[in-house]
Amino acid sequence: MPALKRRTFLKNSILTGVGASVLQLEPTMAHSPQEFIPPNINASKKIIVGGAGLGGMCCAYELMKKGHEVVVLEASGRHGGHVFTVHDGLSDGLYGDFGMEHITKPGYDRYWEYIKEFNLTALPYPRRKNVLRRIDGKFYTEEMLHDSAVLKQFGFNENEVKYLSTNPWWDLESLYVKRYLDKFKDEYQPFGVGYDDWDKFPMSDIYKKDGASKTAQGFLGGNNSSALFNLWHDAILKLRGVPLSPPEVFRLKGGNQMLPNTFAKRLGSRVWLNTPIVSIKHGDSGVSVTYKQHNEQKVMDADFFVNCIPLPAFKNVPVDPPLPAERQYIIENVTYDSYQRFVFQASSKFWLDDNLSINMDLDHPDLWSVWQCADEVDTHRIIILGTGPGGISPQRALAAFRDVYPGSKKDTIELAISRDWTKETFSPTCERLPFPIGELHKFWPTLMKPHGRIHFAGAYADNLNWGTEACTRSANRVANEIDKS
Amino acid sequence: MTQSRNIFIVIICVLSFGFTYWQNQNSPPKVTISVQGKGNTFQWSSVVPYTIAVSDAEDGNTEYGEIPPHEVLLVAQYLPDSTLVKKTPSDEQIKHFDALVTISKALCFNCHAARAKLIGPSFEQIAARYKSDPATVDLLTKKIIDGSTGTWSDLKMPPHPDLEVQEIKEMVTGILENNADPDLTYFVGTNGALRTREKPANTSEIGIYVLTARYMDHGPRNTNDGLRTPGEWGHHTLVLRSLE
Repeated sequence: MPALKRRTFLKNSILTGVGASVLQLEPTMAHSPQEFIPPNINASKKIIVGGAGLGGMCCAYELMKKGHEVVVLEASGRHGGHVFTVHDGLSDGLYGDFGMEHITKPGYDRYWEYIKEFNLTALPYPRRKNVLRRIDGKFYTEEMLHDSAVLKQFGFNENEVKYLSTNPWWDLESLYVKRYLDKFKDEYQPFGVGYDDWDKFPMSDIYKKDGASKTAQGFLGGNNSSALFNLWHDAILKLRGVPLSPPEVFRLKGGNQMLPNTFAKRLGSRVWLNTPIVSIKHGDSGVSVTYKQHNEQKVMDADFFVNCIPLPAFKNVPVDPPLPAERQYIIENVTYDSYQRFVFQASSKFWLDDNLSINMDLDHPDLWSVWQCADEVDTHRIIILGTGPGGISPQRALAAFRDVYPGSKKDTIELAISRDWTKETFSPTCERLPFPIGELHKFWPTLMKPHGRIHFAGAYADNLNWGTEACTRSANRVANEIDKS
Repeated sequence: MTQSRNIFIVIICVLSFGFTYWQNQNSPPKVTISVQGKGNTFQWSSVVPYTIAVSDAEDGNTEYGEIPPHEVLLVAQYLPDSTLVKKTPSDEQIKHFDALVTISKALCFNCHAARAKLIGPSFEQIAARYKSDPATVDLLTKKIIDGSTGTWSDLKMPPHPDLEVQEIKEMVTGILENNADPDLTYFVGTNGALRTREKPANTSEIGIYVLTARYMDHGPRNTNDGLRTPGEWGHHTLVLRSLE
């Protein structure tokens, strides 16, 4: 591939209708004067970012701040990807987050920096407080799950009963993993700490070996991820000072889409929607991306391409020359979970009539959990969010809620809607799943490494699979790598 | 007077019959598959994006989002020899084609794919784990109706009480019997990509991919009862030859 000169980029950009929006060398276009960030014109590079989800927007914003020319190509007609706040159909200005749920503290350091930088408001989100858990058809409060008599009745052994009497229910895993975590010193290096062979068997083997009761084994699972992967995951959290399931979580006032919206406002016309990428050519000196806009195929050259497109979609984009076999294996074999988010609108906090918490783990196949959202909106109405599987209608999910709801009085739910991510053409994927047992070395660390002029960021491209955190961390990592290259 | 009335009645009957006949007419859908690349060729170990366009007088047009994408199917068969290409390959490429359509309409492809793991295991993985016998078909049918968890991952498969037992059995049979041939795969949707196989070792033969896109329309418009019955298949086949 011939060297892609700046002049070539400009020429192609003009020809392809980029116009002044991308050619704008002033990276502070969308900033107010007091937010002026000095551009680094001398080191300016041209970068095409694929995908306008949180990772793509964040990476583009960071590159723009560093003085680089950037354009984001998004296949769908909206930005934000899996971060999606819904208002439509809801009354009184209420809203619900169809996608991304929350951030933690500690944790999510870069996300918290953006909250400060953009003057957004993080609200406490007490969805993990006073959780009612339905186990074998019966609801248990947190107090009940500290009661040794209740724990013994479940079948926990003596150690487990003692631990859970004074520790949260969700922290049972710590009883069995914490003795192994100190060996991990670098959160990006799972290998060479003494557990390399532990990638060959499931975490459940460790639980069995260390004397977990059958009951504990049932609650802990661990049959589908390797012991090494599981311990590395937990060690990352430990190194960041984050509990396994942090009880202190937060959300953005107005909905979590406020952050991608803010990135989009700063990026302005650098974000192109309804512009799917058709193919990518790459060489030693640059990339050439073919995309579709208004049913016409066009080509744009740049110095770098950053892939923030989820891998199940990216694998359908031809790359020339083809990526190496080991990279292609990753692209074709990273798996994600997906789900459906239900939004119930009710006319009152009906659960208070029965002195209940609305934070519930329902253990129902059609509706897994519910909690309250948007409680700062000035109305007597309320929003309950729920998560369940794809393919279930909102009315069936509501019936599931009513089937197991433990209150004696009727609920006041007046509307049920949902977003079934499993059916979405764009952004159907949520968080990355564990790598297959015995295959960590095939995925890590190649997953996050660049290949020539192609870099990788997004929910899939970091060590921990917590989507929002992986997006912001990998986006910053890639922006820095390109800036320093 | 009586003769005029009879003529009038006959005219009304003819018009009525003609209108009913016109109502019950069903035009077959027109299906067109196109691939990105040089002519009808492919490279080994590469990605071949495809687009399937469907146009149907009664159902509408994919261009305007009027055709449900999950009802548009693509069967891709690799053949090591061009002489094996037949004129109507799609009917012989795959068994239990109707079951595949049912699987698609039941939205199973939201979580499963023929060869790739999505949210759930691939049909290929399922077929590799389970033998195709009546007891296994019954076992998997029960799993689909009741839902299951822990078989392949910690994710739950939701229950499907809305599906009929017999149609699930046919779906399961189709899954177990359609995945034995590693050179055959299938997809749903109007857009996607086929990843071509590695060039077979020790061969200088030209490889062939036969791509057949299919769509069954929803039959004629019947305003009498508002119901429409499945109608006609439309299909289009492309034959791609390897470049080397």
